[in-house]
Amino acid sequence: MERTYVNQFEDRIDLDQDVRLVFDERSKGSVLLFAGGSEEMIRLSFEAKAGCDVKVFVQNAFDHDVKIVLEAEAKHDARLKLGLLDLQDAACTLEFEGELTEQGADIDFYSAQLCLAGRKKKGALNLTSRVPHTFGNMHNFAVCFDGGLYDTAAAGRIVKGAFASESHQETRVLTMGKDHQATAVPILYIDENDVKASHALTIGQPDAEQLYYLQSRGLSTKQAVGLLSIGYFKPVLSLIDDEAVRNELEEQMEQRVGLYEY
Amino acid sequence: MSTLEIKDLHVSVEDKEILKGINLTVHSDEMHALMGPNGNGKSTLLAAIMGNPKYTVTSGSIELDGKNVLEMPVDERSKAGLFLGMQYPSEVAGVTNSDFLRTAINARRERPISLFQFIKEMDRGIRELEMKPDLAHRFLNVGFSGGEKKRNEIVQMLMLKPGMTMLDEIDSGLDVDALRIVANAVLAAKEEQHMGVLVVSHYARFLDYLKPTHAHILVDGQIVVSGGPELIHKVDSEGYDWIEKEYNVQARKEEKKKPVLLENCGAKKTE
Repeated sequence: MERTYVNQFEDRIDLDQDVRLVFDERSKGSVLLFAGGSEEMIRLSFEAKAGCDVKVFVQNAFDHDVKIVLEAEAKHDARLKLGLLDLQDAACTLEFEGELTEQGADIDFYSAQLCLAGRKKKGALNLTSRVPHTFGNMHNFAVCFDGGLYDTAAAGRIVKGAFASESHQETRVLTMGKDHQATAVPILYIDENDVKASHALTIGQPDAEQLYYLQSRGLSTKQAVGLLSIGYFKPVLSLIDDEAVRNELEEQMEQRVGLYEY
Repeated sequence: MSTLEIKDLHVSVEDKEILKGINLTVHSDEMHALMGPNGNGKSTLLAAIMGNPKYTVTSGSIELDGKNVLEMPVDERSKAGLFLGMQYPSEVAGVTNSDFLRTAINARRERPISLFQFIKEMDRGIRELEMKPDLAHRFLNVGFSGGEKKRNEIVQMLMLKPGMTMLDEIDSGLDVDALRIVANAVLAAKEEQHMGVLVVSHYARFLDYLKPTHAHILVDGQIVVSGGPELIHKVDSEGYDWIEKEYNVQARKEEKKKPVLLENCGAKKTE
């Protein structure tokens, strides 16, 4: 399936097959994609043409183990914000290939994954600056409960000749309970001078003082931990403009992390 | 009506005994001021009542309306009606004040609070404490000034409606105007909810605003003297020296942290 968006747009698609979305020159808008169905792999491709300004939110709605491939290309002065929310109690292999192919291209990539017992969330994420004056940024968040498995390598690349480009990434993993395994590998491949590049990584248990503070206001340990984990999922929800959808997903997220267990 | 009853409470931190037999009873509608030199156990008492896991109760009892508080986990103590306005409230990035408070309110209700009711109550708290209207959407205490954090503690108190409130140096970091605003909010909540209040403060002006009904002085882990508001003024004008002489006690001196020198950790001294 292929769709092209022009001018101003707002769309929501429930997907069960590969899709390619093209955002025309100087178009502006947002698309919500809910990917589910019976396939074991789905490929979502996005082409952001010159001067467009687009937000794409993808939710993993597969009830079984799945491989999700995201491909994105941003051209001259195109701005693409792309995020994946994965709260499923099933394994997920996520691949992301982002290409900044013309000057002024800007891709902001978000992933937020809930890792439950024995369900491995594996990621291989790449965002590459091919030409000068491009901007790549990755924000990867995960919350691992008892027995959760998270394993992601995120690589920002700036190739030879892509001077004055920027490549940044942050990875935050909150681990809770026991028997979880979290591996995060931030990589920067820089083959040019005069660039800006950075990475930040935190993996750890919730702060004991914070937990006590939340509990002192009546939250059970599970609710306190749930509330802390919501902070990790919220950035990706900021890609959704539609308030009703955002509220619905927030509620779903709150249920998933045990906030309603009174 | 609430009653907090503490009997012969002994509390230790890392095997060091801080409280050495505290006896104290606070009823609804009473305002108790707890004073004493720094480092003598005032904050420890409040933290132990709230259940801070850093503190170990080695003997004694704490009861709220006849129920054994020591058997309750921290969240149950809060739901039973205890509230501690902290001296150093935690900052929690990623969690907004509104999400936090809505969850805290719902945790003590059978049915979740309606959004309309929640917004109404939050707006009232923000107005009463004269805070910025965007408080609800800001991350919990992140980037707040010292005074904002303390006022936020009182907003939480107003919304959670505890039966027994403890305030640990809630006046520190507040300017003169904020001091009055906070005191008025605490007094109004006390009147409205018939709350009992136990307040730790060194600041006579703050205590003047709050009009305590009782005052206690805690020295070296024990309440050595209790009385009425006149005690506050005596301490304000004469300090604590007279207590040491009159009651034959020695205030514990606050331990100053020693600076860590590189030679302490990076090199081994050899003779």
